[in-house]
Amino acid sequence: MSIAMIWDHLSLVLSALILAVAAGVPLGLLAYLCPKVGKALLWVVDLIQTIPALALLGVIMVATGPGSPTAMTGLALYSLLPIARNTSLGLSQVPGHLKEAAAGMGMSPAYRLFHVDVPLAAPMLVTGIRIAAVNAIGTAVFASFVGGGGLGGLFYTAIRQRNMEQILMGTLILMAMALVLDAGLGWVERRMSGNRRNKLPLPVKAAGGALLALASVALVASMLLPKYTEGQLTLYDGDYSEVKLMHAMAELLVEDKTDLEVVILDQMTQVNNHNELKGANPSCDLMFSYDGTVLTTFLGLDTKDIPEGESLYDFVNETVREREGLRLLGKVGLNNTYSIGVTQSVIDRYGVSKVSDLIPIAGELDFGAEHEFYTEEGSMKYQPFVDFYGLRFRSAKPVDVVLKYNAVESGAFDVMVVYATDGLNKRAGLTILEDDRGFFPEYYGAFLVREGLFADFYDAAPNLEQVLELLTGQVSSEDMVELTYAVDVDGRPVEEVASEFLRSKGLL
Amino acid sequence: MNELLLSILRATAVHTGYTLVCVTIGFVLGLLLGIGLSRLPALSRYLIPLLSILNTIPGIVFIGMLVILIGMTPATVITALSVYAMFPVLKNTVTGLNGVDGQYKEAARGCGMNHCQRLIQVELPLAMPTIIGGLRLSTVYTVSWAVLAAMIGQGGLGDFVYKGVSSNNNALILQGAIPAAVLALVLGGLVDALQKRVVPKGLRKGGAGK
Repeated sequence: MSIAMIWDHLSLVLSALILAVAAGVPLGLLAYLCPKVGKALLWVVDLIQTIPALALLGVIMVATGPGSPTAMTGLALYSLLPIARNTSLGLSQVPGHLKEAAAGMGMSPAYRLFHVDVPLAAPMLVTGIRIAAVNAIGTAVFASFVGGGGLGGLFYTAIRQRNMEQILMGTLILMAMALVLDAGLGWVERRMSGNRRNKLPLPVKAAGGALLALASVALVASMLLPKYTEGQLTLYDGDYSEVKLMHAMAELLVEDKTDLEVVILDQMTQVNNHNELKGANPSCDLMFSYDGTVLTTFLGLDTKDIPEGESLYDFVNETVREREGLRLLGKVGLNNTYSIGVTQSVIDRYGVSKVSDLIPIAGELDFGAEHEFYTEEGSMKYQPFVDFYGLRFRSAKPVDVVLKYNAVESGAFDVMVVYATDGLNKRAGLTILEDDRGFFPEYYGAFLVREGLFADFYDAAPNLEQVLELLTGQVSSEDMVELTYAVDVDGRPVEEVASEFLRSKGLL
Repeated sequence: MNELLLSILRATAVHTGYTLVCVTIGFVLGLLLGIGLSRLPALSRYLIPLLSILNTIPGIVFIGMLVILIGMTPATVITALSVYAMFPVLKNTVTGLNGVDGQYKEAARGCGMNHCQRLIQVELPLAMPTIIGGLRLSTVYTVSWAVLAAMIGQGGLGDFVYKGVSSNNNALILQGAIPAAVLALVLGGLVDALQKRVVPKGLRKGGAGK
């Protein structure tokens, strides 16, 4: 955790709040001034609030580009509701007799609005902003799905690693942020409400206001600036250790063996990263993925779409080139397929070693997997799996991929779908059962690159392709288990583990 | 198709259940705490920010920690969402009660009302629109937060959303998002209806106080 990450998080929250106030207060005013239109508008704001964050971010990313613009826009949309609602509510509660008195004194409606109504509604209005602020600080962790930075990635990693110290530290920082913001807004509230006399002379107030406005605009603008990556090989960080490690290896090798500069931007999920890599305006150059993932998740195909006699890898490579102008480099060796892990107590009680050993005892076991495993399309899924083996588990529950090791360690499951190369299997005491009837297809890891990549960088690094292919066949599944264990369980830095591995292979 | 509809209805029912239970718990807690804190301005200056920071704990962290303490049960979801739902009510209750004009409190005292009577018969009715405003925020928020239940396999509309997001399937996301939006509109509309009823007669447009 660094000061830069904290500042990242804070600037994300602040810029989103500025946008939300800039949009929400006028919306609230409008709702108060013309209730018919306003009511409809406030319903729309309600609707925005209920859109699931991940879906909303995905849509925004198409419009505004990845990274902080998306995260800021999404967070601003989620902050709109309390601000707009409380503004209109506060205004509508200004006592009628005061409005009449103001009218009686000859105030014009506009003058009355800003000199009577708004000051009286100020406490409600600022309460709305305060509610938005504390929620935004927590919600901003979602920025790490779309490369928006902040403290989100740190939390997801810490939860996976069960790094209590890190979680506690992160939470305390968020809380401190909330306290500071809340105190600041409280100060604004006291200034705005007419209860005490404003002692500052007008020029000072005007200058202060102008300065604040300028700073706000500057902050929002700074979030919209694209990160400068021209002439640099650009990657997004992965959202779990294996991808982080492979991206770090690519960075180390390319920077060691070419003159190219490599930049790894904030982390993103595989799905979002792929969306940024394909298309006419890619914002990155390559990513580490798996032939099975490309086939099912990215291309929406299934193993039965592969023509007889062709390997999954070859088929995927051909199809992704035709459809998306991407291609896979050589397999690095590891096969991160789905595996079936069982807890130590199952081993102790039943002594199982293969998946088919579970058939007679499945009725006594609880099964868990991430949500993706329960979807209906494709054959590498729960229902086809249990049908294939004839397994009838006592229960089967989905759990968030970040929380699944917490769940199995708390005793929620006896059998869980895991990835073969995950170092956490060892920590959780899970034994991988042999897929003895061969249900799960391979998920060979490889770099997915833009087809034009090597031509684009030919002047700076004519040997780029050869350098990246150095990793081909070098990282076996067993290697990766050890590497992710070093990162996720021993808590060692990704770069250090990656560079140590490359040295041990004589690549660096 | 029928099966799909059935599964959507079932998930919507679970989602509604979580929302109602958590909003109710959050409302009662927020209201009571809010009343208490509005009586103790010295304490509330420090306690409200402290309570508010509970809402800054990201959902995944809060639920992740509770899973270790309580386990993968509905109780985990209800605990987290109730705590989240409490804050907007608490905040608006304090703002509303503090905003009651001094002249009404004095008038009530002048009429010989004791502390309790003043609170129940004068201050709370006058603050009620603001308090219900907080309830409305909580309700819409909780509909959207209840998606988190699916994170630990406790059902609800989040199930579709999580499955859809992880497999890049927009139809699945919409299966969860549209019913959630409808639910928010319906529950929001119910609170709006409540809002109209709790405004004291004298404050209603065209009422006696005008």
